Amino acid sequence: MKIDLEGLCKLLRQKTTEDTVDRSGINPYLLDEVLQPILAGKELCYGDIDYSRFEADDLRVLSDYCDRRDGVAYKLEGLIGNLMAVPPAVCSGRAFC
Amino acid sequence: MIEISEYLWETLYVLKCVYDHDPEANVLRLYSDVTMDGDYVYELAHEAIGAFFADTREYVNEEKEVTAVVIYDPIITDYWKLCDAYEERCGIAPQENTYRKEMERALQSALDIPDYSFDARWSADTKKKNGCKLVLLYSYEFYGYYWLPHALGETYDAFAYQTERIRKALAQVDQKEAVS
Repeated sequence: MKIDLEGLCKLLRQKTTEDTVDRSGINPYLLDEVLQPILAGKELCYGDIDYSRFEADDLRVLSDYCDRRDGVAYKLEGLIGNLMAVPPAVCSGRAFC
Repeated sequence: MIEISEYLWETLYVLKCVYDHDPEANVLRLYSDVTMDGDYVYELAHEAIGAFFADTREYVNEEKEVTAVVIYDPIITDYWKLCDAYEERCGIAPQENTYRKEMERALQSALDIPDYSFDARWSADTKKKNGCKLVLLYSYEFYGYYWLPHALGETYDAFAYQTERIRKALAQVDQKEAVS
């Protein structure tokens, strides 16, 4: 397998940042004030949670979102592994004079 | 990439069920300074069992590896006493009392935990001291702890709702008798 790294970088630069997993239906409080701080490495205590700002069923939606997000990350890690497994090869043409 | 254990959300689910029943519940205060961690799910759910009814007692039979949670509460006793009163006033047998049947159906639905090592029973014996109770039974293989707080919240709500209904029904019987 050959990979055109220059072409890949060009394509990646053209991509806009967007959510790969649909966030619709997630309780905004849980998303912004619980999940995001945890993902940023912040440690939250149970006393920090405002239980009046979400319903019990919202946690199931959030948990499903995290599962789907982990699934995408798992696939991405697989892709990165495949890329890293490709042995480097010299360019066939002259790269400089 | 930080992976979040689903158990973390289950700990919040347990505490949310407790909060919805009683925002001042002791278990909420007990865990307020504890850092969120999915490893607490069983411990938390176990603590939360006692947050729904007035008197919750746990008995462990280590030989048979079975735990029995026995729950007493005035709301339980009062409901079955109201059923007795309704049957007496209407001159019907307990089997004919729709309020008794409805409550039994509500209990079956609320305590229907999908785990083969769990069972729930109840007693409505108003003649005996502590004769009105709920009994939860589970073996050491029981992994559905985190369903219990929700199930107990639903059970309490069912008693509260049905108590209101049967009180109204008794008031109507009184009214009819007063008119006649």
